[in-house]
Amino acid sequence: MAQTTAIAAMTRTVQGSRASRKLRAAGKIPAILYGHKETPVNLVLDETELRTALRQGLHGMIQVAVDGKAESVVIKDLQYDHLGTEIFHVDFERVSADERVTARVPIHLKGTPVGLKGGGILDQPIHEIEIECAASKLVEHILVNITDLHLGQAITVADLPLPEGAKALGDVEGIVVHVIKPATASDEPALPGEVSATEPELIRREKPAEDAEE
Amino acid sequence: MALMPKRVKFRKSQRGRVRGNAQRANRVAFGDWGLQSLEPAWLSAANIEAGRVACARYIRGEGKLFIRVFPWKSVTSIPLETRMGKGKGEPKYWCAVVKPGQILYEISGLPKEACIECFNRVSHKLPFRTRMVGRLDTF
Repeated sequence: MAQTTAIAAMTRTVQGSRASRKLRAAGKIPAILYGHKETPVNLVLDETELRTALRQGLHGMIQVAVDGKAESVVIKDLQYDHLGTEIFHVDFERVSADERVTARVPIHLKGTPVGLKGGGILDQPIHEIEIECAASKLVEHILVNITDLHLGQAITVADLPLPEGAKALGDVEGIVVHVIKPATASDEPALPGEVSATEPELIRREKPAEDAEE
Repeated sequence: MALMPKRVKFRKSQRGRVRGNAQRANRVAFGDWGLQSLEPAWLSAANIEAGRVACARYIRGEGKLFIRVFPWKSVTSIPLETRMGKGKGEPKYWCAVVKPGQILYEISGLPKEACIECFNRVSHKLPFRTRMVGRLDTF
């Protein structure tokens, strides 16, 4: 849900990877604010404050106080380092409460399916979906109750409890979660690239017909 | 049976150097938990298979395992007690070039505690340091 606390941000004058690296070393995170056809503003945030805010929620509408002036935004992008631990950069997009926005929202499962007792395996092919809804109605995650899911049953995107007025984008027939039979050794397909030959086949360009005649 | 490409353009490759960090395949994408490399290395097809077997024996068909690395690179060697020269050796095995941050395996359908134990067993089969990571909420 929407946060009430505002993240304090200051306008950033320095740009580039070198300056950003220095900021990160000083416990700051570079960010940018754009949207509503206004000039993009480079920002700098306090890392601790940002992490605290992110712990409360990533996907809802949040408030950012740029030099004391509050703006309603959504986080459009969050860049991490290669290990996925350090935050490198944040993209904020200006939104108004009634504006319709598209956002990717994670799907969380609740409960243990009945089908697992019958020897099934829980498989979740889709972990997040893209939805379109009013910015104020954006949710942190979509909670799906899977307690009544039997062996062979599935929950599709169309079955998800979306927020009020929200519309799922993409394939609504896609299976989000299902309980399947465990694969036996005979059912298990060969791994891709697993071949019985000792050496792979060489890709060779075929010689032109003239050469063959000579 | 160890992994190997089906078709290649050249049988032998130059050694190269493992430089930088993994800029792709560094997030858990298919499962719930993943095993992430923390060091650059060459991961042989035998190592990948050993990890798969260690995981399969632990999960016993309950969860689902995803292998995120593939051995594209051939490693050559010359036989023992061979005089120098006479060209490059013959391909001995195939390996995957692993950079820090690369997700090697992923598991879905298992509780966290089971995944910790499973990846602990798998990591003992690998020649470099690894760690278990969860999914990052994306945008």
